[in-house]
Amino acid sequence: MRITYYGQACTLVEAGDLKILTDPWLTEGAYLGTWFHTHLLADAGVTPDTIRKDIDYLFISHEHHDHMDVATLRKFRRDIPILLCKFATPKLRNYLEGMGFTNIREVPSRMALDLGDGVNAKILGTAEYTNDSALLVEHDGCRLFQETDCKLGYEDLEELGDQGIDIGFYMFSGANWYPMMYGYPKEVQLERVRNRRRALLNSMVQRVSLTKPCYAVPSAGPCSVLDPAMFWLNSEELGIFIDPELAIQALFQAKVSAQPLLMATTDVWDSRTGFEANAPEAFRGCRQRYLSEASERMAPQIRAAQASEPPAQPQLPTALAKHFNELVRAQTPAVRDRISAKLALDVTGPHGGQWTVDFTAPGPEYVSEGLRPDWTYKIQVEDKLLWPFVSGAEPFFEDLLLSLRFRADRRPDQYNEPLYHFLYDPDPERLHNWYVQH
Amino acid sequence: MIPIRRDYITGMSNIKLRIADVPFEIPFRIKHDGVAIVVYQSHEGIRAYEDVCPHAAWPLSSGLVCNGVLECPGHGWEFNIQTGQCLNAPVYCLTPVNVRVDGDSVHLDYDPSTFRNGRRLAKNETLSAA
Repeated sequence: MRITYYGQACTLVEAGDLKILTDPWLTEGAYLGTWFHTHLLADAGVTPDTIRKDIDYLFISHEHHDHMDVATLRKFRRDIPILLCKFATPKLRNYLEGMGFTNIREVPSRMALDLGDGVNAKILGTAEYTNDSALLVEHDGCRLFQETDCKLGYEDLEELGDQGIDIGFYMFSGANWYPMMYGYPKEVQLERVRNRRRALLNSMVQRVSLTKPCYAVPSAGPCSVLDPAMFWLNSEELGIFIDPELAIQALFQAKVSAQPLLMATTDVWDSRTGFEANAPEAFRGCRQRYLSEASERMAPQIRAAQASEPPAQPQLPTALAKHFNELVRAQTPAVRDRISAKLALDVTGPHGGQWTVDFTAPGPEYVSEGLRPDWTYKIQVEDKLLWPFVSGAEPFFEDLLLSLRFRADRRPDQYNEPLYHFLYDPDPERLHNWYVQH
Repeated sequence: MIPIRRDYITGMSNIKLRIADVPFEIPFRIKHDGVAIVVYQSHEGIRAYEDVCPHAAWPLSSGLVCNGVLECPGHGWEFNIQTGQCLNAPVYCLTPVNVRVDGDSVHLDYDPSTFRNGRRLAKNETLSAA
């Protein structure tokens, strides 16, 4: 087996005569231009155009654009077999079909797959409420575990460890907006970041210890933020996007049985010959210096992209009220009770305004103008960024949050999972099954 | 050896331990018949829960307790050791096991049918401010 690492959870797995490409994201600037790779892929000569196209299978773990990049996917033939985990809702499948892909294979979690030429695989679904999955590939006695950034249940990981893994790719960093986008006092913010980073690295160590691979590669999770106005997010003190070198250090410090292996874009691991260092020399130097230079280099492009973002339309207030009223109205009373939030939307810009989505209201109207004084979660965002998500142009609301181009506050300071679940995928049956039927 | 008695009429099970055998301020796992329980003894008394994190089913008995907070070893979810309430995601709480102290013995009474691999939702009243 031969594995070429590109970035995030994108790996080319060559096993027998088969080639499997996992989580294709080969462009830069995902999530409204915010997310860049650990190192710019183009600096290693990797782009959607240069990647080989004679791939037998694409595996897509979930719908996040740092795992399923539309521009990269468009470079592949429309009948390429795409392996997906069978999730609670067909949102991802529908999205891919909307792009014209015709050979989508949804596979139940844990089902054994014979991909041909002696290559076996298994997709493992997450234990969380999200749609996410990991991949196990086996050929000729060699086993690869690509965790992506999926949080598997304990039993799945334990079983993987019992079966034995030759090389595992593990999530090692935060991949969301907490706590950076919240308006905490500085000392609180610093403490939250410290705690989060500690928990994330400890979690990776625990998962590596449990799955016992021969080689452990920190891969998925973080982004680099190259917009100069948001560059502070790369800081070790202020952000949760952990440097892969720190993950390697954590594995060494924990004395895990696995051999920690740092892989950068184009590096290869071959089950017969071992590690091949192919990445540019600049990828092995001081990353903060590299990022500073990359930010300077990309700044004009980022500014131009932001300047060309379409403005919000005057119908934003009507669209917003319609969007949230319909989604909240469709939920069962029990789910609305579980969410029990007053979501305040403070929208800036020419077509902005203030609204509150009140899940505790008797209905049928749940959206009212103004910020209720007793709001429990507040999002402040520009009108042009919110517009695509309330007008129906963009289906995944979480993309807006992952863009890190918003500010939030919550009262009390607690994670309201049902509210996030609603924002993530407001399918009423799915939410009811998770919070009421379970 | 932990004596186990199952009451076939109510479905309740009972585990009897000596207090002296329960570690102090260290989560302690008891496993029997496919059921795992985490027991924790502190100055506030003895608490016991199904030994499964409601997030991704990691055994909480491998976690650490600091300032009354039990941290899951898997992904760092935190629980109030006295109440079982999840502090990160208050919609969840641990499945409690009834603890009775009788002299120098501790009885753990539990109904295996209430164990749901950790997926226990908190009561509605704890959610109102979330």
